[in-house]
Amino acid sequence: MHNNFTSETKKQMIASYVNGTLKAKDVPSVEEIVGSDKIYQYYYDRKVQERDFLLQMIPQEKLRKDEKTALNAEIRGINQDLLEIDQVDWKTQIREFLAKPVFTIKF
Amino acid sequence: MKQYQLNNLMDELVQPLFGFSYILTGDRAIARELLMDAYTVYLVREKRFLQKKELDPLDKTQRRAIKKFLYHELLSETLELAMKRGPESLNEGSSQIDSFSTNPISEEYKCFFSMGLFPRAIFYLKEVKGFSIEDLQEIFGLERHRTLEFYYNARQMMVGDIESLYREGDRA
Repeated sequence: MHNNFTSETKKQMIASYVNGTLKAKDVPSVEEIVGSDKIYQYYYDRKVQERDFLLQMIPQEKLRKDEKTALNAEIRGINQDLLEIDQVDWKTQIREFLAKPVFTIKF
Repeated sequence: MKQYQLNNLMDELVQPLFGFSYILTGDRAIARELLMDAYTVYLVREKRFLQKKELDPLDKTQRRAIKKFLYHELLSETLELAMKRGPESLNEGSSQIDSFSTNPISEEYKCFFSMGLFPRAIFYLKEVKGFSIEDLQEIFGLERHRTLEFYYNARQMMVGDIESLYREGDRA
């Protein structure tokens, strides 16, 4: 089906595929285009590099451990001030405790 | 929803919300403050709704849905509050680099911070967090064409910046 597309359309579809705005039904067509033609494969690689470069220009800050602890404590304080006190019956508390694993081993 | 359930949900959401708050303000301390204020405003307004909402601790699908809902609501609240507080030039975007912070912005992020709050928020959530256009529409209450406009304009601005860097590199 993608044989009917012009070169410009194919390039636009690849660009949409890379930035995630392509409709799901068009994904197989783009994958076929990229997989079968070296020109489009090159175009696809260029677009991916461009995206990766863009990502480097966006700040991706994370909370440090101490900041996260402080923020969580602050949130708990706000919740305590604004929400009603929990009244959880002992059966629910036991059920919830038993539903969670006490420890997990990561292999 | 019980208080401890909300505490647990917020424990998981605080990190991504901080990342979002930071890209709006460009300063860690102001970002933390903005996040806390947005959360307080949201909780004051929606506490009845949240308390009435039943959350079965064993139903993981429901928990995931509520967590996503809360995340989206708080993103929207944070942006709204940032728009009220920031300098007016920030909302629509201006040619000069503008943020809430008085600290200098790192050279590599100057282009990003020269955009308005809306394009910045949409571009960050789309590119870094992988949100769909539909999600962004829902979060910010925008029509599809408006969301795409913000996204493509932001993209164009960033790509244009890369191209100017290439040109400068060629000249050198």
